[in-house]
Amino acid sequence: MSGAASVIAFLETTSAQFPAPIAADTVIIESGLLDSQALFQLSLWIEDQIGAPLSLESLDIAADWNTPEAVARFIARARGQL
Amino acid sequence: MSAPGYEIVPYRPEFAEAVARLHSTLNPLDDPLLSARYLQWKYEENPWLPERLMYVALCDGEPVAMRGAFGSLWEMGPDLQVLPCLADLVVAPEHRDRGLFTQIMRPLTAALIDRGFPYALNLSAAPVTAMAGLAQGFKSIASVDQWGGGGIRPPTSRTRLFQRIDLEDEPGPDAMAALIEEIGGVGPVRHRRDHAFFSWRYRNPLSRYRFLHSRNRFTGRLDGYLVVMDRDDDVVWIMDWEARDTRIAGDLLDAALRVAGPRYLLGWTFGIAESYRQLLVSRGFEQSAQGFGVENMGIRVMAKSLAGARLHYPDSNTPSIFSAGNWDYRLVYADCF
Repeated sequence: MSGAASVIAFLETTSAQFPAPIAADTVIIESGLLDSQALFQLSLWIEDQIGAPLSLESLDIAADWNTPEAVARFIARARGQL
Repeated sequence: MSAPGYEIVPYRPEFAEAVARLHSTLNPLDDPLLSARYLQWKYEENPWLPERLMYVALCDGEPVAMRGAFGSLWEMGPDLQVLPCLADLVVAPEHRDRGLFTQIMRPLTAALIDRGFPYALNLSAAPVTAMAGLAQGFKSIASVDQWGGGGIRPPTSRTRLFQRIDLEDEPGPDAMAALIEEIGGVGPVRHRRDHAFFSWRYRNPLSRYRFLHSRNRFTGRLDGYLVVMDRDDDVVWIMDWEARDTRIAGDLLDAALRVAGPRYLLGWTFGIAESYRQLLVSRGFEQSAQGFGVENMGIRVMAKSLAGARLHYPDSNTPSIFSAGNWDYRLVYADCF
């Protein structure tokens, strides 16, 4: 499963209610599709994926997690794969 | 874009009853009348922004979510700045995870920009709200340090020739403001603690405060105070603590331990003066370990720059609000107690 596909697969397990299927380029943050509880669930999952705690002081969620593709890139970067 | 069925509107007086019912899920007694009084106090009676600056999500005409911003007055070095603090986020359980937080924040943020505020604050963001705030462009300044201690019997203070400590139910805003005016504070970014603040802040109808005042026996001058919030449960909270010198501060802390009795005495802070930190440590207080990552993020203080605000931003000589090292943060600044 590609990075973006695994992000989408996870998002579908969260409490968020999406009006339409999510694609790799679906805007999930600026659109407000993902906020509050589901966003918190995503951040815990991202920490699991990168195996390290997120640094909240340097996190720019709107830029780094705005689409599933962007989330996948963020995870890859954090793992040192890019 | 609103999700189907939702309309996001500014607060209107005809929503008062429904909004109080919604808010009562946050108040410890789950009492809508108490919530109505609380919201009246916090918004309409606010000294710096006396209006109900709040947006409400309606579903079939009924409020199902809300978010407000109340006024606060900050000293930032030599400058004084009224800043809005985001608060009172409630989404009814059956309407959660539908993007209402983001949808309410958009017009609320636009209203703050329209009023010319340079920054918005969140002074006690719990983890879920903090993550949502980060997604809205807020920056995390710091997580608060929680100090806890108590359940001990402090030694009876030696009789002080010149000092006495009184336990009172009223704040005494004039004397408290005069003391702060004289002794100042630690960091350059702090809430203005003047007569207006002390008069307003301790009228919060959801909390019960008790005031330990250290006074000169002969002149009656206030030389220190320690305020606790006591809801007759297992924990007593230190709201604020100031004194002319460390000896008086220590006596006030001992008096607070006696007020707490077998209960736990807790306080939130960051930027605390080293002499006060040593007083806490010497009485057996411990600082909760700072966790890492999202799950252990604790309570956060956050700020957002409101790009496009009409008023001038503080100039480059003004201490940055985004730097934790500039802050002198106390629990009394947060709105949760």
